[in-house]
Amino acid sequence: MPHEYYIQCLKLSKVFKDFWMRDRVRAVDEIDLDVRRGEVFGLLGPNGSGKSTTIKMVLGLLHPTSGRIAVFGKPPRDVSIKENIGYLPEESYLYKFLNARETLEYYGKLFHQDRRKRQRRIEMLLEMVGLDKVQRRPIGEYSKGMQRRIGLAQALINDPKLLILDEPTTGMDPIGTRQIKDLILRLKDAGKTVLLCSHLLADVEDVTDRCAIMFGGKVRRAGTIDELLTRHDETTITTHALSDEDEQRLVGLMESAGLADVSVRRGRQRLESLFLDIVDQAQRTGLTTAGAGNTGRVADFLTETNTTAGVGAIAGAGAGGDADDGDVVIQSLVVETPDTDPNGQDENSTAAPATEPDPAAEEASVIEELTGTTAAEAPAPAAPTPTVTPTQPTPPTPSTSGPDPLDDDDADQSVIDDLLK
Amino acid sequence: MTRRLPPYLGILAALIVVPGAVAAYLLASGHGGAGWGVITAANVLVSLWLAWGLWVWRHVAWVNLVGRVALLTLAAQLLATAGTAAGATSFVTLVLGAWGMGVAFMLGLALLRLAFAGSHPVLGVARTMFDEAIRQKVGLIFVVILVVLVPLLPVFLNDSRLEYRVSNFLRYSLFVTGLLLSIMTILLCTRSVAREVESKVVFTTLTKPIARWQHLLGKWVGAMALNALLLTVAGVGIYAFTKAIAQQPAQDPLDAVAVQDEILTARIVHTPDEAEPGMLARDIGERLERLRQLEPDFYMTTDPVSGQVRPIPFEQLPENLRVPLQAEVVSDWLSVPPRSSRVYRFSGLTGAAEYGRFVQLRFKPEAKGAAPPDKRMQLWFRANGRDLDFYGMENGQLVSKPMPRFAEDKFAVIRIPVEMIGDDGVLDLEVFNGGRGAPDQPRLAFNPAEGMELLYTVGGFEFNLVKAMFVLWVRLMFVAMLGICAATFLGFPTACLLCGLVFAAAAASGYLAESLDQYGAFANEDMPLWGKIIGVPTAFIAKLGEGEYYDAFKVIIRTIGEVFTAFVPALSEYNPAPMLAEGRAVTTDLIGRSLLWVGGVWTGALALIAAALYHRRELAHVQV
Repeated sequence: MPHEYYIQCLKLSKVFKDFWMRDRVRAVDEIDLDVRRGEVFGLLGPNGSGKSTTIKMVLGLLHPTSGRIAVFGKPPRDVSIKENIGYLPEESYLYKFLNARETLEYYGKLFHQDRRKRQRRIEMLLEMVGLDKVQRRPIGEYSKGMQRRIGLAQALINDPKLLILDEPTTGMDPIGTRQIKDLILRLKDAGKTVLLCSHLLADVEDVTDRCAIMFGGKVRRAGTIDELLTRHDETTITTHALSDEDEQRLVGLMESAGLADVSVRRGRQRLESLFLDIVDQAQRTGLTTAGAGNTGRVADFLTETNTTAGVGAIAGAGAGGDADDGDVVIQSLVVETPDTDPNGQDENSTAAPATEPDPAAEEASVIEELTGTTAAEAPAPAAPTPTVTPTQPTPPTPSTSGPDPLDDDDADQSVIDDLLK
Repeated sequence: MTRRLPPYLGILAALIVVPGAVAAYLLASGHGGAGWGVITAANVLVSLWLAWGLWVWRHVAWVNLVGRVALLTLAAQLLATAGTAAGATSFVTLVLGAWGMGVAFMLGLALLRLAFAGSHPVLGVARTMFDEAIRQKVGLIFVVILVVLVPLLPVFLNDSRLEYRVSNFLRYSLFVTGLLLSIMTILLCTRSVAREVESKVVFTTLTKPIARWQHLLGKWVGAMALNALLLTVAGVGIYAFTKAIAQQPAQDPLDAVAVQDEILTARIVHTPDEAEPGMLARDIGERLERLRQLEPDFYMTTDPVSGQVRPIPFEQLPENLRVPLQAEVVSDWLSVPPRSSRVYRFSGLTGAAEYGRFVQLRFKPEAKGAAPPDKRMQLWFRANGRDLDFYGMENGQLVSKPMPRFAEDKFAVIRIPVEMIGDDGVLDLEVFNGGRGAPDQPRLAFNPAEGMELLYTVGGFEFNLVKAMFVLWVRLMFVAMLGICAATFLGFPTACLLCGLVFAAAAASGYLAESLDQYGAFANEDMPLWGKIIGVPTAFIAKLGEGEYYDAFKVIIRTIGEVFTAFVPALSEYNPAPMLAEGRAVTTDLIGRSLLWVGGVWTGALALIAAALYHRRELAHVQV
């Protein structure tokens, strides 16, 4: 299939030099990364870990010091690939003197969109991001969140195949954040590919299929969310709300079955859901706000096309003979990496960090912190469900090389069966 | 009240037709007073109804435009009426000029926005650049200065003669317009490109399918569109005020004629040739021969091989000997001894008869020696062997008059009937120093630059003004590209400074070259630039060796100046301001040359440099 990989980076490095051409910062250090068609890929890392630099190289705004990048199988500076890319920068870099509509007009023109198509999309996008009421005000007067919204709208004006979002939820209120996450999921359903770059872990966890965690210019770990987050030293059992009596009985049973460190917690809802509920209720009672509106609808044109037909046609138009060139680039990339086979690759063997040599203790702790936090914020089930967390007596295994989670499930099942006899 | 168009138009039609019919009936039936009353009332009603319509549909772009133009017109009308009543004519002139400029600006703006409505990325960038200039203060301030300054100029011009007032107004207004727009263009272009990179707005644009060179092209197109608009506005203003000034009372009839025939016109200029070809060369040869005898050290050389002493040919003389000799011969040729005459040949005048009855001889007689007591000189002319009459103004008619005495060191014009020009387009003009029976007077001379010219009208002032504006626009092409080019690798303030320097050097290139020549001399002026540069260390050390430290320093300065001037275009060669002020035609040749060199070669070269630099540039910076 052509362009199975929308983005491929191979041993990509970026070194910033000072005036005397001495290495000053090694922002990105020989990373291997790929983003496949139809997935939501999260690029995670603390501030200054090289995420933005990587994205800017993918977009052609920075030149790699070494290594290769192919975007849609072409070099990132190729203008034709931009037809299919939507980019939301980490801050809203927009003309402050234009209003929302003029901004979208401008970006629509950059895609050669004729007037009718442009107008149709602008109407939809303004409604979608809730700025249709304030579209005649100059962007310079917008709040940060409103600027993010118009930024998002401009990133979607071309109905992109590949959406690159750099910290999309900064400056957004929880509703906006939720909408962006919903949007990402809707776009994924519509067959779009999303590269999401963020340090807000909860956001990434909710929507991504795969992610890579960067630190110090290197990808420290990569894989699917499940692979990265499953804790092999703990099992969570959920059930409907139990009386204190039943709860104690259950704990007693479990402990008598030989399970150590059994703890029971009341189910909690997440602050995000609580907040959204409150706002939702307030809106139903007719309260209004002066800021951006809140429709939450996704513009039809973004979901009406199915990836391969609609948008693919754009690529086909631009590509034609170029598609072959793209394959050549991929081929050349492939040939140079004997240990990466794009065709036979499964999701576990995606990225280089699997072969990452023993990371320093400090880096390990960062990852620990990152993954730990993410696990704690994992989506909880509906409100009144108590959670029983028995900890297995077996010593904790490192999450990277742990046994297949399925085996654990089987083991746990037998314990539960015993308990409920 | 309705907000729908058909009922609105229906009522409008009714307001026009019904009172019209009533008035017609009343007028026809002899009730004249009542008829006119109805017409007046209907006019008021229609105006109110139209105003209301403009208000209701003010959100529609074109209605808004019509509304604004109407409002401006109304305001101007009120002010002008008040001014006329108070007898303040120059105030009225100012108001009308400002009105014309304002309306031109609004209409031009709407027109250009329409032109940028297309869906090409370059047009998108151009439109945004244009909006940036209009909405941000940089552009606006200059628009305001232009709109205020050009109308104010006539107030400050207080020459006694009308022709000088008109001429100076044209000269200064074109100068001010060109200068202001150049500064604005530099600020706008450097700021737009440099700030966009600095503020990272460019990230959002250049991650869309637009090539970097297209981005720069769009910026340039936007800036040039703005320049076209502002030049149009300035042109309207200059035209209106020139016409207004020209209507002021002239000092004397000759003054009035001069305004029309010598300034508000477009004339072709011919300079005199030798009457006998080769005469000047022969004169040079004779003088050189004398000089060789007098000063063999300078004009003779010893052959290093044969040891023979031989004369240096004129072409091989050093510049500091050759140029003065040549100048001496030319200025001798352009002077007439007392009580004698000299013939000057003007050729290529075949077309002159098509454009009018007369060609004009414009000359400035200078007295070499003690000037006559009344500072006037008596001259006499013969054209192709026939005596020339002087045509003066009498009761609005040109009539033949006795040849007057011409003021010394002032420009004068005499008219030569086209019939006197030969069929081959040649006019041999014999100039007599002194008239028949006139008293002795000193040697008569004409300045070689413009002391004697033959001119004839080939077109009107209006079209000439348009052409002059076009040449200014072509100059701005270069300036805009210069700003963009500098901003592709420099920050805003630095780019501005560089552009200012280059523009100043380019605009003053004529003076600069002249002053460099006078500042410090090279051993051999004819060397190409690279030769001079290579020769600098030798010359520098030689001067130091002679103990001439200041001269050594001058060599270095001169070289820097030479190199710098070599890398800026000679914009002063394409300056339409003096042409318009002197009523000369802005020729197709000049337009073509400016398009080719300034708009094509220089702007193109800068564009290539800008595109190459911008293409390679890393737009993001270290952020880890």
